[in-house]
Amino acid sequence: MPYCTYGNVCMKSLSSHKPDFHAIFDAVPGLYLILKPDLSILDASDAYLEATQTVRNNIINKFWYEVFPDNPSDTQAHGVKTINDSFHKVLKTKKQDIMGVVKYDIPSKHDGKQTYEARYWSIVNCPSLDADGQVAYIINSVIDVTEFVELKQEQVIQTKITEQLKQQNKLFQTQMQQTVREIAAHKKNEAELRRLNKIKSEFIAAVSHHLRTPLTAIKWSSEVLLKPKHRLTKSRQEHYLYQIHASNERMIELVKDLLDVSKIDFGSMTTKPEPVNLSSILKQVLDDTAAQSASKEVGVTTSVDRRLPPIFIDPAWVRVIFQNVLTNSIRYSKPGQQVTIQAKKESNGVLISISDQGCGIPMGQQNKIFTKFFRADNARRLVSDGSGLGLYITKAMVEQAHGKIWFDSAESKGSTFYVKLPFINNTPAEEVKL
Amino acid sequence: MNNDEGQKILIVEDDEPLSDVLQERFENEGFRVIVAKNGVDGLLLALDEKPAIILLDIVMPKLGGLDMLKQLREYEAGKNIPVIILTNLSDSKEVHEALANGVRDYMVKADWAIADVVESVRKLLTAPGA
Repeated sequence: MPYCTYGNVCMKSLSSHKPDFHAIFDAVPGLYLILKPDLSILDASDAYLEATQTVRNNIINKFWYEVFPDNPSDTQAHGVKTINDSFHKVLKTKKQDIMGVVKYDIPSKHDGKQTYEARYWSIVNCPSLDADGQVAYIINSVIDVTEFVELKQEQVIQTKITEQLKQQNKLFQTQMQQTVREIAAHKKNEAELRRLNKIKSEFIAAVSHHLRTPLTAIKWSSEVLLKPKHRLTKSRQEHYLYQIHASNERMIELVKDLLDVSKIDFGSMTTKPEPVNLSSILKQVLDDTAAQSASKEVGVTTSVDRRLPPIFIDPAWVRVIFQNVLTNSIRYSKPGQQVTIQAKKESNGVLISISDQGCGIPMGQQNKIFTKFFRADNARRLVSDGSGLGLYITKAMVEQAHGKIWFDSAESKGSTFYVKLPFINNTPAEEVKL
Repeated sequence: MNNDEGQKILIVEDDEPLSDVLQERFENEGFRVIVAKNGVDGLLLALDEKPAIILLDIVMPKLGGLDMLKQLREYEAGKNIPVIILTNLSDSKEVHEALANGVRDYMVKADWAIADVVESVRKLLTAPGA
């Protein structure tokens, strides 16, 4: 007996009554549709009818695809074809075919209109063979997995939304960071603009004052010379011509210094560093200042290490540095006084010192000595012209070359300025023999 | 014949080429000229010599022209001496400060010929109430 192996009671029951297979078929909770080999409907379980919202008498003997057509409003629908393929496979192979989840919308009436409900089905098609081994019926067993699929889809959507939110959040954060960076950059730019504007204003004010002074001297001296009624003696005429010349020289120097200062202040100073032999530059500067020291009767002596290694620096800068410090020393010395220049090698650079016995820097003004346009009172009394820019430029150049400049000074006793220039940027290690 | 013949003028100017040419011109115009090269000397000379007028620079060592002016105005002897500021500073700040201390004129050196400076001094000395 193929139907039951559940023991004697059942056997007995089966043997005494003909079982009502239809009642059993209807009572099973599963969803079953029985097809004939021509794919017309033989019957369906009550559960199947309920799930598909169909009525038995309306579907029996109809072709299954007439009863369950594809949802015409779903262009992606291909349930009929998929299931039809499976039925044909079963007919051909006579073996059960387990299909995956198939979307198969079911027709339903809604407010008198034919509509479709989206449904997902897990489908298994089994053949029922007759005595000859031919397919007598196909049992179409389906499980409605719509809720499960929709739940899954919801989860997928949720995950997608979460992912999108995460990405949006990330994007937002990136944008925020970018904005914060932009604001910071903007603020920095603003501050920089304000700084540059302040420098510019100070610069223009200082330039106008400093340039006007020699310009006035030229203007007034030439005015006096050009008016015959002034009847100047020859020596006074020469005096004014000299004033014009000297003032003009002063202006040229001033313009050069002012251009250097503007480059320093606006950070546009350019440099061409190279290995420099300090001794030879020092010699050039001594030659350049020889006339000045001779006319002031100031003696200049040098003591330079014979084996001074080269320094990696712009030679034009070294020249300016030496010249500015040495010129000051000579200018603020009295006749008969001495200026001493020393240069010696130290462990990590070269130390140059320039000492004088001149007017020195008053204690109370020493902290301003490297300030732009500053000149100490005693220096101004001694020498009226001077821009007050030399040491400012010198310090900027020394520091740009990663060096240091400082001084010891006592008023009326003299000053010693020290310049330390380091070996940097792979200064050649070999020493240069003089 | 000038009315200001022999009148005393104090030039307070630290720049020698300028004080030099001013001194010569004013002397040639018949003034008696005294020169100071900073505010401290200028104040002392102003109080001692009681000049008819002062030509005063602003940027000078020791004591600037505006500070000298303020101190001068605190002395009875210095209260009423007419002062012309003769400077190359043209900032409004300095102009205001100078005017607040009773200067009679404010001249930017590079803008004027010496003849104009002399003319200004003359006008001021011959003006009613001078």
